Order: sequence, then structure tokens, then C-alpha cells
Amino acid sequence: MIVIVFLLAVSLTVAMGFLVAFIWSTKTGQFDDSFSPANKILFDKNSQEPKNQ
Amino acid sequence: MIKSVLHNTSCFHCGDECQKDNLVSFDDKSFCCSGCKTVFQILNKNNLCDYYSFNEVAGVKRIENSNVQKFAFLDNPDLSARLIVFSNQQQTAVNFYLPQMHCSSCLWLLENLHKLDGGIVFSTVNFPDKQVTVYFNPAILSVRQVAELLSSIGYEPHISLDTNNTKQKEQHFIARKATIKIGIAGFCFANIMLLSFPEYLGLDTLAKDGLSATVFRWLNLFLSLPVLLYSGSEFFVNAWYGFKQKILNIDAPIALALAVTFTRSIYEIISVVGGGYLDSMSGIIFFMLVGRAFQTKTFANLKFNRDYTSYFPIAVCKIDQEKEESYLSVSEIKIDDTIRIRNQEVIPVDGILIKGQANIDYSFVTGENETSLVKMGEIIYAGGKQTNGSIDLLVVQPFSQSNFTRLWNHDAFKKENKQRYTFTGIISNYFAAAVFFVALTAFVYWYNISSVNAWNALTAVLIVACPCALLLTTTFTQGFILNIFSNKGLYLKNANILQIIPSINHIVFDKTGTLTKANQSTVQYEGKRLSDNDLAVFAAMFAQSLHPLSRSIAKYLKASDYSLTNVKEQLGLGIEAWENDTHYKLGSSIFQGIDSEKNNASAVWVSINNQVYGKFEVINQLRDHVDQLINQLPYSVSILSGDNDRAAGYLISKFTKKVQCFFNQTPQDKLTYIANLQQQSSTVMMVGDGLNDAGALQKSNIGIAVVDNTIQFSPASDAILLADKLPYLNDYIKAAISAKNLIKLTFVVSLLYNVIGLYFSVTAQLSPLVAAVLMPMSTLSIVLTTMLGSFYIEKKHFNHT
Repeated sequence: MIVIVFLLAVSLTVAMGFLVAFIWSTKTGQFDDSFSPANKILFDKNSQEPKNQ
Repeated sequence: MIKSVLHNTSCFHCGDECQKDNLVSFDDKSFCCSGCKTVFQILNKNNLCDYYSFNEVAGVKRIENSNVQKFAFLDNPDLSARLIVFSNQQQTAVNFYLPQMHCSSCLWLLENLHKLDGGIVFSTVNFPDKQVTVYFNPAILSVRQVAELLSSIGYEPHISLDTNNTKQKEQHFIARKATIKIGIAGFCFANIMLLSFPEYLGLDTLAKDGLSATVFRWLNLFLSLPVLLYSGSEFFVNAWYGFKQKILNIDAPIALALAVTFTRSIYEIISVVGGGYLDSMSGIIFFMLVGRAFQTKTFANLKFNRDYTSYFPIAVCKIDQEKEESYLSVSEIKIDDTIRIRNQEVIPVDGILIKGQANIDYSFVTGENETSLVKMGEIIYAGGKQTNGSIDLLVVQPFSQSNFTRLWNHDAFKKENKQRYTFTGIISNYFAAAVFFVALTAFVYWYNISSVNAWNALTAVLIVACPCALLLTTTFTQGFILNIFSNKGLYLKNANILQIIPSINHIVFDKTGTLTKANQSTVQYEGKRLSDNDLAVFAAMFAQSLHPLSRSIAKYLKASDYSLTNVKEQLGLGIEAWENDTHYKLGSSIFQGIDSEKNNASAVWVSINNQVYGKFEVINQLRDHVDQLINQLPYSVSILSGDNDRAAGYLISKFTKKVQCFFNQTPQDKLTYIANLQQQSSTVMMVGDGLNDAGALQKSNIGIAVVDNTIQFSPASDAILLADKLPYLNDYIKAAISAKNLIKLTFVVSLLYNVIGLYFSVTAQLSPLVAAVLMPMSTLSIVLTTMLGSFYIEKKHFNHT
């Protein structure tokens, strides 16, 4: 059953990784704007390139 | 939807209904004004018409004829510097606040600015802050040109004295910190719960396999440290601040409960008696933080703490001795400088008129309805808005000492000095007292039997009876109600305001701009009766004139088809007509030769054969349904107006209940009035709109600023209400009262859990499992009750909207 302790250590380490990722992404402001990125992905980049007039 | 399309044509650009007389057509599309058409043309030419495909009503109405010189001040590098975030030889980045930004189309267009002008490299939008950062080539474009480009497509940048990014950064920092705190608390709470399962299920099986519970317990202790010391730190900090000011706030008993839980858990773990209650403790902290975050809804597009500086322009055009124009920051203007104010600009300093025709609109500052004509050599005060061409002023008082800024030196603006004790605060005091009583009784009872059990009972009571349930009910209910309110057009500055609304008993309204609307007017006639024939002649005469007063009176009289044969108009004075040997005359009191003690600019006198019959007066009409609102409000109502008492009769005739009306009120008078009411122990709600109400809004227990749209400037206030929702004010108040009752009800529900928990703890048999089951159950049922209750409140009070 000592394997449980080993699994515990592994799972906590993995989870800590996610926690650190969460803190980093919050600190760099990635959750500040929940509107723009969600909408930007829907825009077609090259739907209408300006024609040379 | 289809119906409206059939009957009215809506503007292709902004979606507003097109008025028949200014409908503009282009490319088979209809536009409500030439401004909208121009924007369409610009976008069409640059193949940016995708703009219209993302949203049904994407466009922002462009304000036509706006001053071409408006952004000239940006040519002054000192002034544009505060907008520039980054600059080198190849690229300059400039930050603009665009309050018009509202949908994904805006986002798309503003990020495609480089297609409009080759000088722009790229642009990025910060949607919640309504800001765009434009990177452009300084060799091709200037900051001013970028601002003008944005204006040309309808997004006129808003630049004011309080444009400052540090405040915003600070807000971001606070919001991010709160998110991280919740994240850490949630992470640790979930892991502690998981690691506590062996404890819940009994440790016998583990012990058989030679695995001691100590590993799990010490891991739990390790995980609970960041929850208590980082996430939960605000409870201790708040409690300490309260303690220093000799106030026992709700955070104090919570901090005590947390401290006791943690100490007992450490004791249990070290002395190997049990696992402690670290799971419940971190869970409670997590849920309370979620609740607090839930009720701290921020409205990025609204500013509650604006002071007068954001109403003023950032720069002024100064004329030097060689008649050259240059732009200076407002604070650099000195006495004896000559400044030029253009049409529709706000005057930032007190000055003497030396050139041009001044027609100043003081309505926002004083509440006066009419614009005032200023003679050459007279003083014009800061805060007025010029409405007639450009004028030159000789400065007599610099910005910081102008007559207008003096009001802001009043104590009411110095600090947040509103006396606010909330009823949850009062409940929590009683609650804390009751808990201590129960805890002591249990302790004394058990002490006679066994001292160990006595300590167990004492700490268990303090753990279970933590007033976190009270905090949870309040925060979640307030969060739900704030959400409902903001969907319905009332935005509260913070959740505490919600608790004060039920206690108000006196509502004070401002008249101009709040109860009335500038362009909604009615006409009243006072004087001798006019015969039908005379009335028809006057109606035709009014219809002849282009003067705004005449136009509204003509509209009211429903212009007859009487054709005049002999008319003469004296511009700005009046009209004369000769019909059937009768001499009809209408115009100002000067034109009629009447000595009127008050030079009433909105009255038109009529006379027949030089005999004065009476006067037509244009009065601002009440907003729709506002009279019903005031009649149904179950509180004392006062109306304060900076305007003259002309409309008194009209106002009083509209109300069936007794309403106290005061006229010619200065901003200081309004503040004093509120202070007097408060001294007679009234709790006052002030509803106003202009800078002239700013003092009263600050002084009142709840100040509500009424705005026509959220882009508009509003004075500092506790809440912002959309003008078309003003008739529902009573419903908001009723909903706030219901919310208070809901909090009480939910609190009773949570007390039930406390009683169950107390039973276990007083009998000294609170196992970690019982605590771990009780905690999430009470939390879930509280959230569920408040949610259902809030839905019910919304249904009950807002089913009409």
C-alpha cells in the first residue's frame, strides 16, 4: 500500500504544475479580457483583402 | 421585429430609426444622418463592410459637425505624451479610450485600422477597458491624425484630465490577486478533501497495511498553510482594522473561528489524536472568497468616482500677442492669458468675454434651463458650455481657483465619510454574542465532568458557529440582486449600497435633466383668452419663424393653414403681422416694451394692437411616467431645482401627493438641504444628474446619478441609473427590501445547520466527518436558496421590463 504515498506525491506534483500555470496566466493578464479572444477567433483573416484601386 | 422594418426604415449603419426629413440614401441603403453615411462610405471604400455582417446593429453614430479643431491640442507633444505608451523611430503606440465600443464588430473594425490607413501598423483592443492601442508610423501619421481617423469612423476618443493608466493597472492588480487567492484556496481545499478520505472512512484498514495516517495529516497541514496565510489573510486584516477602530465587524468572529480551528487542528495532528478540521476550514475560506468575488461585480464602462476634472477639456487654445494659436494644458493657463473657446466646448476657467457672441449653457453646472447670453466684458464662469460659435476670453481665475472648483473643496468630497452600518453588521454582533454564550455554557458544563472534553466542546462550538453562513447568504444574495439590477439598468457601486436602500425614507430629486429632459418640452399659455381667429394668426406667425422657441410653440399650436400677407420678422426679437387691419405682435418682453422683472428667455409675449394679451412659455416636460413614479413612492419627496420657479405650477399640477419644491437652488443649497434632512434623522436618497448635484449626491446616504447612456459623463455617485428606467425606481427599492428579507430567511436556514452542528459540538462528539458533511451541505443549500429567492424577486418586481 506504500504505493499510495508514491501516487500521492506524483498527483500533487502534477496538480501543483497546473496551479503554477494558473497563477502565471492570471498574473500575465490572460483572464483580463474574456471577450476579445473568444470573438477574434471567429473572424476570417483573409475574407476580403483590400483590392488595389 | 418584422413589423418595425415594414413601418420604419432603420439606419443601415447605426440601426436608429430614420426620420423622414433627414433620411439619406446611398448605394440602396438608408441612413439616418450624413454622419452614418460617411462612415459607411469610408468602410465601403476600404472593403471593411464585413463590419456589418457580425452584428445586426453594429455602427456607432458619428456626431456630425463636431469641431474640426477638437484634437488640435494633440499636436502639442506635452499633451499627447500622456496618451503615448511607447515610442521609437519606426513606431509609436498610443492608447485611446473609446466609450462607444460595444460589440464584436467594433472589435473587428478597430483591429483592422491598418486597412484604413497605411500609416497604421496594427492595433489591439482591450475590450473590458474599452481601450484601443494603435501602433503607427510617426513619419506618416501624428497622434492627432489617428484620433481624427477614429472619429471619422464614429469612435471619437474620449480624452480628459483624469485619463490615467495607473488607476486602471491598480484595479487589474487587485482583481488578479483576488482570482489567484480563490484559485489557491480551491486547489488546496480539493486536495485536502481528497487526502481526508482515509480519515472519514476509518483508519483501521490503513493501519493494517502498515501505513500511518500521519502522512495524510501532515500533507493536509502543509496544504492548509497557503489557504490560511495567503487566501484567508484578508479576514484577519479586515478584523484587525475593525478592531483598531473599535468596531467588531463580521470578519472578526470569522477570523477567530479560523484561528481556533487551525490551532485545534495543529494540536490534534501533533498529539496524534485526530486529523483536525482543516478540510472544513479551507472549504469555508474558499466559499467565502467565491461569495465575495461574486458580489464584487465591476462595471468597466462605468465610472463612479469621477470628479469634476473628467468633465473638463484637457487642453485650451491660447492666443498669444501675435494672434497665434497654441494649445496648452488647462493647468498651465495663467491669469491675463487670452483663450479661445470653440462651439460646444466646455469653459475650463473663469474669464471675461472679449470677442464673439457668448451664449453659455450652464445647465450641467447650475441646473438652469436656459442658456445665458453674456455681454462683452462680462465674466463667464468655468463649467459652462459655449453654444454659439467661437469666443475669446481673458482669464481672470486659473483652473484651480475658479469659482466652480470651490464646491469641491467642501468636506463632503474630502473622504468617504458616509455613516454606513449595515443590518448584517448588526445581526453579526448579536450572533457573535450568542455564540460566546453557548461556547462558555458548554465549557462550564463539561469542565465539571472532564476538562479535556470541555476544551473540545469550546473549540467545536467556535468552529461550527462561525458566522460564515451569514457572510455567504449576504454575499450571494447581493451578488444575484446586483446582477438583476445591472441587467435592468441600475448599476450599484458596491454591494453595501443594497443594504442601505431599504432604510431610506426621503427621496430628493433634481429637476433639470433628471425629472425633465432637455429636448422634451411642453407649452403653457398664460393671459387673456385668445379668439380662434387670433390664435390661428399667431400659429401661422410662429410657424414662420425659425427660432427654436417659435418652432416648439408652433408644434404645440398645430400650425393652421392661415396664410399671412404682411409679416415682418426682427431676428432675435419677434415677429409682427398685419391682418384684417389688426396689428399682431409676438416676441420677447423687450420687443413688446414690457418691463419684466425677470428677463425670462423662454417666454414669448403676444399682443394685439399693442395691447399685451399674455405669454406662451416653453417648459421642459417631465420624463414619461415620472409623475406616476413620484405619486406612488411611499416616501417623502422633495424636488430641488437650480432653475427658476417658472415650472412650479406645472410640476405641482402633475403630482397628487405633497411634494416640496425648491427653486433657484445653488449646488451648495442642495448639499445643505440634504444635510438638514439628515439632521432630522432622515435617510436620504438623492437622484440627480449634473455637476450641480454632485455635492448633494455625495452628502446623501445614497446618491443615484441618472444618465441617458452609459457613455455620458456622470458625477460621482453610489449608483448609476439609466434615464429610461427612472420610472421603475420604486421597483428597485422594493426589490432591495425583498432582498433584505431573503437574506434574513436564508440566515434562518443556515442557523438550522448551526443548531445541528452545535448539538454535536456541545455534546463533544463533533467528528471531522460530521463537520465535513455539514459544511458543504449548508453552503450548497444557502446558495440554492438565495438563487431561487433572487429569481423570485426578479419575477415579482421586474416582470414588466
